[in-house]
Amino acid sequence: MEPLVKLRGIVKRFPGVVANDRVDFKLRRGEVHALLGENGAGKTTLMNILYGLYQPNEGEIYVKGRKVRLRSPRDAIDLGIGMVHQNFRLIEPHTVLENIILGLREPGIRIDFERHAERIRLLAEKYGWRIDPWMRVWQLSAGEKQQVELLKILYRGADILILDEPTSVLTPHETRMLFKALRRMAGEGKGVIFITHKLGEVMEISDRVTVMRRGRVVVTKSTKETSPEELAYYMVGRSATLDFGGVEFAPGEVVAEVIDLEALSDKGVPALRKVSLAVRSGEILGIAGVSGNGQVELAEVIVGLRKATGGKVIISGIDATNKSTREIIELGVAYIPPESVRWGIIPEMRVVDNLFLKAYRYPPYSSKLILNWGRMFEKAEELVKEYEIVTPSVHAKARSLSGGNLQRLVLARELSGLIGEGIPKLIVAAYPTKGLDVRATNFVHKTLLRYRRLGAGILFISEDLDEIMMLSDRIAVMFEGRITGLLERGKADKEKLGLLMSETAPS
Amino acid sequence: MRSARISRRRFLGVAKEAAIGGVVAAGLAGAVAGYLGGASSVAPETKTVTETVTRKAEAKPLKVGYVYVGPVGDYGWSYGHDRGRKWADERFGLPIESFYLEKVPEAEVGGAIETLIGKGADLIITTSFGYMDQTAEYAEKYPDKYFVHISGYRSGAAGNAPQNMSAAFAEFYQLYYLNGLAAGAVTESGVVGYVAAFPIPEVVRHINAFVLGANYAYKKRTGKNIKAHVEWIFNWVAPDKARSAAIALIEEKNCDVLAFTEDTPSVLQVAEEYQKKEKKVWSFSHYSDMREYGPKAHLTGQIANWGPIYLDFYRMVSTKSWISVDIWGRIGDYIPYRWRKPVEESTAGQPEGVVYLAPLNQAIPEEWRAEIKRRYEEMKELLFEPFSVEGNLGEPIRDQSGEVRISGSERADHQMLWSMDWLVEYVEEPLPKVKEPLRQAFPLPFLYFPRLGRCSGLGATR
Amino acid sequence: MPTKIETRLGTIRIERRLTYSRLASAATTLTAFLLSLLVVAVILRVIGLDPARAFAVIGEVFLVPRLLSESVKQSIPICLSALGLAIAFKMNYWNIGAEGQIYMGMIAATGVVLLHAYYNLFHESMLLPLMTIASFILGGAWCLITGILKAKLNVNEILTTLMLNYVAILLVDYLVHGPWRDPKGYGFPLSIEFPDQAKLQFLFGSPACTGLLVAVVAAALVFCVLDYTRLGFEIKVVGQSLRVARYAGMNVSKIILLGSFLSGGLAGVGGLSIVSGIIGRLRPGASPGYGYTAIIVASLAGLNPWLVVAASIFFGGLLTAGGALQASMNIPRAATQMIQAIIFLFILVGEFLKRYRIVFERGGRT
Repeated sequence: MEPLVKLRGIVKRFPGVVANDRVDFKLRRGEVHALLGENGAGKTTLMNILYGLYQPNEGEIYVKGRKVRLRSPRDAIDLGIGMVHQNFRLIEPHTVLENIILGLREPGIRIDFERHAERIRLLAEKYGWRIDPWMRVWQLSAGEKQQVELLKILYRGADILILDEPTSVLTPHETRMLFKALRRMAGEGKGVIFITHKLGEVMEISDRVTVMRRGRVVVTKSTKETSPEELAYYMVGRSATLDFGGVEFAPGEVVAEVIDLEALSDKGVPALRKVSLAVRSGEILGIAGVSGNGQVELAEVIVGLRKATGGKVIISGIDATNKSTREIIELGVAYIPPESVRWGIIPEMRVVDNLFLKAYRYPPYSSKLILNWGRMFEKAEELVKEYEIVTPSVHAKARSLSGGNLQRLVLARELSGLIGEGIPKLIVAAYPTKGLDVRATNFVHKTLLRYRRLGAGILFISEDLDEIMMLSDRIAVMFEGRITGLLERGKADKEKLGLLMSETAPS
Repeated sequence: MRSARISRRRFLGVAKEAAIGGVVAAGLAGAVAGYLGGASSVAPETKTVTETVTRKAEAKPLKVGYVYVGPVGDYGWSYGHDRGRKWADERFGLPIESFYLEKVPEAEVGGAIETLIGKGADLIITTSFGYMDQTAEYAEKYPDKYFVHISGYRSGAAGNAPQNMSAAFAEFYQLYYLNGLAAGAVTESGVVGYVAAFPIPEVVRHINAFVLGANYAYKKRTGKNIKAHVEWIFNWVAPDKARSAAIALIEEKNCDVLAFTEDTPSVLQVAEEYQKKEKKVWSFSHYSDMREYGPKAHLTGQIANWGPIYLDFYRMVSTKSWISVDIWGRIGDYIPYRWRKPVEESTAGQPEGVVYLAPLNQAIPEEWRAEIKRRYEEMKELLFEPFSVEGNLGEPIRDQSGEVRISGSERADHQMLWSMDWLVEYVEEPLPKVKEPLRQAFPLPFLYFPRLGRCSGLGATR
Repeated sequence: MPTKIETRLGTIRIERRLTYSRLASAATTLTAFLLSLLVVAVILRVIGLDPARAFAVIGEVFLVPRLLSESVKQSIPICLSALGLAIAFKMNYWNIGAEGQIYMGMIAATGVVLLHAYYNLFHESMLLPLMTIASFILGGAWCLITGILKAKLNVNEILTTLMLNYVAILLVDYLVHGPWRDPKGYGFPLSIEFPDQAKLQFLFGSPACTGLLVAVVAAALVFCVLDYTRLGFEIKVVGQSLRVARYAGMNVSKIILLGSFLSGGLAGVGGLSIVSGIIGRLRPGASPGYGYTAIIVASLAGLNPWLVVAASIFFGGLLTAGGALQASMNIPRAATQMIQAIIFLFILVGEFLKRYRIVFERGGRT
């Protein structure tokens, strides 16, 4: 049978890197094809080429048997290719309907909105979605927005669907709904390309899987004929074993406590509603939950970046409620911010600058006024070695580092005890592995476990239930600004957590 | 909100392309228009400006450098000086090479002087008040060069600059008085207006002279005192502000004769527009003959010819007979015979000397034209002084507070004219100046200086 | 996501460059400069002038000591203001009020002179040091006002700094028309002339020498502050990301206040260099837009303090060259301004190309 898409010998070069190196790829009708690889393996670049966003330096693209040139997404859309990006491209103040028909080519000068609305409703129902075309997009949940993106594509009659890490914003329930819909689309003879770096999802949804590493295709296999272990091996080039054995749970005294904490979100609505928690030294307290249920606000209030409107934060026995960030840093609190590449790194400054973003103001790295660059460079070299940060030099700009290396840099800055004596007392880690590849994730996990052993109290926020269950000594679940449950290690399973994470949970 | 039907233009992608196309097209059109506009406005300035009149090839020509504050094409101040430069070059009779720098900001005059000296200039003439201090500074730096500064008060003669620096100015207050006579002779409303640049003594004495003249003629005609209104525009060159000030004076204050101190013909043009609408409004020439801008509305005016002054300095430098002077060119200066002529032979209205009266409009009644000519001739020999009891119909001259400023046989002298800070009683608006309450609003003691006695002898000493 | 312009003929794309070497950067600037000279040459040729002679005249400005000294004199206020702007711009603080801060610096310097002249409060050898301190403080305070508004109320500094320019210029007008008018100046709006001890040439005979020394010292100070002090580090972090600065525990408000004060203070000293180095007294319109020129200079120099000094002298030279071209070749003033504009335009385009690249893709749309 004629493949829907055939890519042959695709080469795409960016300054200093070859993002795609002679890539061959085929998408058949009626299949869900997973495109698996670490961050920076070239998956997204390849799909951007197929979607007309990038032009390849070499290689040929065949769509439905015909050789084509894709100069812009418009060309791709005309050929029936649609893409759902990681961050949605929707106009929030507009309605679902307006978003879907925006850019539609149709003769005539009037738009029959009612007719379109009806057709969109029918289309949505076919895939088991309940979407009101007249809703404003900002009123929708992340999962629903994704459905709108898919509807936008399907409404144009696309039969080649590209989804870039579609599950990263979804709850487990929404993920299941998405998978059901994708199956159905495949059943209609459409081809679905599913970009991911999560092995579990590959096994669950895909018919075939293509693994990419460093811009090249390593293997394309039928999913049935492979295993997660094998795929992990292809992804990282060696067998990645996730071994956390031999960690005793021996918690010490409470290092941080929040009591009836309340705070507002950026939009001024309550984000925390009387949250009470305590972190003890030598323990990892996991915070599970779907993003946007108050986890980040909780972290920010603790580290002094957000004002508490009620309740208390006590760190090492000292009332730290609404103290300045600097005072809290001096109490021994380390903070790994969410999306640390954006919010914890300055790309345009050097590695050394980023390493000393906090410690620059303390001796021995500076006196009252003057910076001691000699000391800083010395220490930076050490840290680069210790944390295996891959960088040309400590003088290099941070933007030249990959995501994984930037996260190592953040860990080095936060955890290596540059400020004060010894290790931090409390580590607040918000989504520290989000978007990282297997090896970098592994490094973060190991590092957190090491500090747990050293006696730090760790508040570990993540959406990835596997990760939470693997690392945490206790797991608190947050939903709508409340702690809906607190489970001991070993007593938590995915089903229980999933219930607590959604409104159906009996709290 | 459900709006079922709506123009598809709002949503379809076509609109995006159209918008981009439109922006690109507009940008191109703008660029082309800008290019053409720029080209046409630059064009008149590209003509050759240096004139070399070589009569005796073997002699080393006298080199003179001018610094202008504005563009030579402004039809005002700098234009007048450039005309004077050409006038003097033509009549000098010996090899002469003159060159100028236009639009020189006041802070950059040092570089301009250095450049001119680099070009070998023997005589440097700087033509804006703001150039004064630096002209003095460079006069000190280059004692073998000669410097003339226009409109300032520093010169070797005045004792506050080196001896190789002279000061010169073409003074108009006598002519403003004659303009005032013409205004008083034609006004029907009995209200005259003045569009004034800055409240400095030069402008203040011109306003006073104009208003005194207008009062003289109007009171003699009707027995009533004239009323005068002043609009300050705080600018030497501001055609837009001059225009709106002139219109305000006509429409709101009922003025029908407008004098002005602004370097463009804007006020005259406004008067001409009213004349075309059959409303009799009059105005004047300022610095150069502006008749073409208001053939109907042009009553008379004050015109300067800087040429004779420049020629005088050329001759002093070339014959090595330089003495520092502080020239104050008035009616009768720089003409071969300054003897008063009978009215019927008067030269009023013709080019003459350094300042002269613009041609008189026939709309001025015959007897007043004769009166203006009589006064013009008298002033050649300083037989008549506007700032005197005689110039005010035998009345003492009072300021706005009623204080008598000139009475009996007094005449204004140089000191009074050059530091005049009061307006005559016929002017309605007070002189904008710092009042005591405003000073008190600034609590800092050093913002005003009651103890002037301790001033350490800086600035002018005369 | 790169910016993209689609046309019928193809796609023009603007992409951010990831890296650009120092050598390539220098080569780009040089190429831009040479290209601009080429364009200037063509234009001069078109209006019937000899380009070679014009360039010789421009070159002379930098070679003849007399003219060079004038150029340097002009460049000092530009240089000091641009150094101040470099600090502000590093902080991502769009201070376009250097002009107003210059005027406030002039007011402060003149105020000190007047205190001396009228009240004789201190010895005349204290004049220049006190004038420098006063102009720094008043210029800094002028910018600090906008800093306070920014830090406390998040008011856009572009608007406040720009609007305060007019206030400062009018304040100078008020002072010289009113209380500070020279009582012996025939009513002209001028302050008294500064005594010699209040003039820059008092130190080394020539205002250019003194000014250059001041500029180099100021550049060294700015360099040290930015690269070797905690405040400099904080300024750079705040400039890159407010959010990261807060995350790092920096007191962002305090940094904005200090940074804006330093920025305005340097411009204030620039004002001192005008009244005390060029004019010798206070008068309205004393700065012909040096504060705005400084914005261009700071950008051309890429906010590097040493390059700011070089760029200012280059700029001062071009100002002087404008006169020289006019006098030697009868090039009208407007044309010399055009020449300057072309050179800056090319260099700015070069700066843009260092940061972005433009990709053309051939072929129409299907």
